[in-house]
Amino acid sequence: MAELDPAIHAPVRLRVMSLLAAVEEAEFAFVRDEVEVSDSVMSKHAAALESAGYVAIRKGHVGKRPRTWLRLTPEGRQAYTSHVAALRDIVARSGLSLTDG
Amino acid sequence: MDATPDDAPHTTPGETPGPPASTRRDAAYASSEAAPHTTPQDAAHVPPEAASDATPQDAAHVFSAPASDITPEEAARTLREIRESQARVIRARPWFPPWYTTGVALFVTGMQVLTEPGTPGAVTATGIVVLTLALAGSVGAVVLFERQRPHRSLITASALVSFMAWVAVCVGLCLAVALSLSGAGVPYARTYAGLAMTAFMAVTGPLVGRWITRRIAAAVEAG
Repeated sequence: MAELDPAIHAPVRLRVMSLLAAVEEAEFAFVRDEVEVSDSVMSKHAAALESAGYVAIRKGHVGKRPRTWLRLTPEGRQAYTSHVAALRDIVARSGLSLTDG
Repeated sequence: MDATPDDAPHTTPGETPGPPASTRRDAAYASSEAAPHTTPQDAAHVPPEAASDATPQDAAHVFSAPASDITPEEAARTLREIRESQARVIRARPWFPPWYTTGVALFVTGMQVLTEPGTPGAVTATGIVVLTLALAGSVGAVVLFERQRPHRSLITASALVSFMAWVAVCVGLCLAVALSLSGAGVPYARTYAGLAMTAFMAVTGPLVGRWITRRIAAAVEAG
């Protein structure tokens, strides 16, 4: 049975992971805006997820402007999938329907 | 991580903007010294190890419950929120950039022009090289700069079939126009057919891209 991953259990981290799971790669600012946190908070979570090996951070430029992109690593995608599976297990064992929310 | 002040705020249309831009800019990206700039709303999301950066009222929002304590209702709500946020992100941009398919159609049209009877060999050779480089540049641009597209694992079979069906319609239109014009004795029939296909793809490409994107998002939202 899949288990909840404490590294991504925090709400913001899970939101970041779920956003990144939906795309190939996302710009730092886009994720920050979607998660609705500041640069500093987003940076802390991104750094924590990078340290866990779940997120890869790439820096580059668009024109002369520096940009930062985030993407899930294979390990991160696996961890996210397992975490979601664990959540589904919890719901399924309770008899709740996911469509009910 | 280093500061990247130009990671400027940009909210996609129809989405709720994040904290004030000034808050974001003055907090140097990824630097620990930026923590004092954290707003109350931001700190609501601060992980336990960063909780010292949060204000007192933020502390209530710092996630501290052990993973094992999550209730089925919380798990269900979390899963629903995940699906909704993923669907919103997917809808933010079309699955493929419309300019790309139009560019491919222009490449095909260009090839038709260059290979029409009577075209000087040097022009044909030079043109093919230029067109090929342009196509390679387009492919490179998509690969390098259009990365925020739905992850390949989310692309459904129906989405792929829809896209292939649209491509087949475009090619079919091109062939039909070429054959009918050629049968009528119109010169440069293949070129006109290529232009018709390019126009068709340019007009319908954005619609098809959005429609397929919505289908992918709907599948994600449905779980």
